[in-house]
Amino acid sequence: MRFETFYRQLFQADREETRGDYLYIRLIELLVVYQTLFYLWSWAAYMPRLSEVILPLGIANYLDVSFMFHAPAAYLNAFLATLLVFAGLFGKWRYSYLVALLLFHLQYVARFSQGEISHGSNLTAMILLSFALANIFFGRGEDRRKVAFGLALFFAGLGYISAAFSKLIGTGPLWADGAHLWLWMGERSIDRLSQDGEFSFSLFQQILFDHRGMATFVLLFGLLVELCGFLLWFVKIRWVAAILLVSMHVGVWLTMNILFGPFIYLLILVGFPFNRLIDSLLQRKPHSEFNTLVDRVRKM
Amino acid sequence: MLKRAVRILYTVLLIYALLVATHLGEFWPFSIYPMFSQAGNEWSRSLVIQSPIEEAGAWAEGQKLVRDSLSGDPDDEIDAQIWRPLNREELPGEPFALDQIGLNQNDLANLVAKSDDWSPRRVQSVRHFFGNYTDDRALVIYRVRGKFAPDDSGDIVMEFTPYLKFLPDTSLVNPKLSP
Repeated sequence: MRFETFYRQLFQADREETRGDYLYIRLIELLVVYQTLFYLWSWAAYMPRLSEVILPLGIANYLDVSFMFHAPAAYLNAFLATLLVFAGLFGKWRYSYLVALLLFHLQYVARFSQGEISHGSNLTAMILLSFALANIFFGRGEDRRKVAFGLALFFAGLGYISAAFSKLIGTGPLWADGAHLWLWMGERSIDRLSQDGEFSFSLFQQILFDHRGMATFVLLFGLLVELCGFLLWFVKIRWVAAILLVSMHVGVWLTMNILFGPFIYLLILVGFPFNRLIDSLLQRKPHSEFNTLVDRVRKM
Repeated sequence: MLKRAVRILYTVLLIYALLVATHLGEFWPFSIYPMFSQAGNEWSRSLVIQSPIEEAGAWAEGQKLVRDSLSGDPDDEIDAQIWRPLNREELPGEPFALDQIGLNQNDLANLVAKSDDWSPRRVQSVRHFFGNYTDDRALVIYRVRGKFAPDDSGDIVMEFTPYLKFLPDTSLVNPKLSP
């Protein structure tokens, strides 16, 4: 496949946008907006517990973000970002998502200044960035949506490939040795005990402890699936990538009790062709008022 | 549209690469996603153990008696006993769920693992996390280290080292950590 062909299908350049496409991308945007607001406000509520920066991340390397620990700074930041996110959603200001993302970044580096680097919100923010760039550089609504979706897919796939290469570079092919999973399961058992005050291994985890080969298979599956992250870039097999990646996340949840909920929801939405489903539903009544309404909103 | 989209993609990719290359792989939301990339390494977490106030009082009284009964300079000996690393079965009390105070265990674990300056201010800020839960019980914060047993069996050995002890009227720091 030539590069141009690749980019054409990534950004759906040869395809006329359907009503289903429009509603589908708006649904993704809505989920990203919801997750962004959820993170902004839940981090704001958490921040008064913190008192000093242990590990400066991002902009915190250049700016003392401890002012965010004192009310009402984090709430004010969340409030401003919320206004901007809604301005972006309703197309009021083309730069609003980008500025909201900068405030989101500030909220993140303040919240995660305690030493733990969380990746749970990365995909949400990368898709927000995709919408932000599309809004800034494209005037036509259809182009904006196609570009935002293409960029989102590209960076989602890239993230998984990068995670796989980090493992291969950090440890090598023996990363998949099942004993490594035992060590992480032990670590996570302390995490859950610390958080909940009680913890016991599930039957599945006990089986993994008893069978090193099975634990190795679980790690190998995860590594290979991450390496296949690039499959998200190809429209025809995107659903395969989505199934594999969601399975991998479910595996991480079952073995290490780490649930990347927002990642999973976005993967399901981005990975499966819901646009076609919406189109087939809408075509049942092609002259319905709803269809007319969608057409009118699309032109705005 | 396509040319511009591809140009944006490459520009973001370049900025992405520059930022992660100059910030140890992390400039949110850009990341090389290095979680779990170094397999087999020793890990460090934290655990808070609580015991009732009566036991805490008995514990403090016990330390005083031991201290009084020893001649010379008993501090080192007592400290070595009080702050010695334990295994899981030896932990004196029940785990304290950090959910009760809305604290994420990652934050405490990292604070414990990455702090090398246990100044009174930092100790007080940790105590502050627990609010009035220190009024009626003793809380001991352990640093938990896990690694493979040296016999190559794949078994995991965990060691619980007390770092901080919060009693209703005082906070004690493992003397090996004091500045």
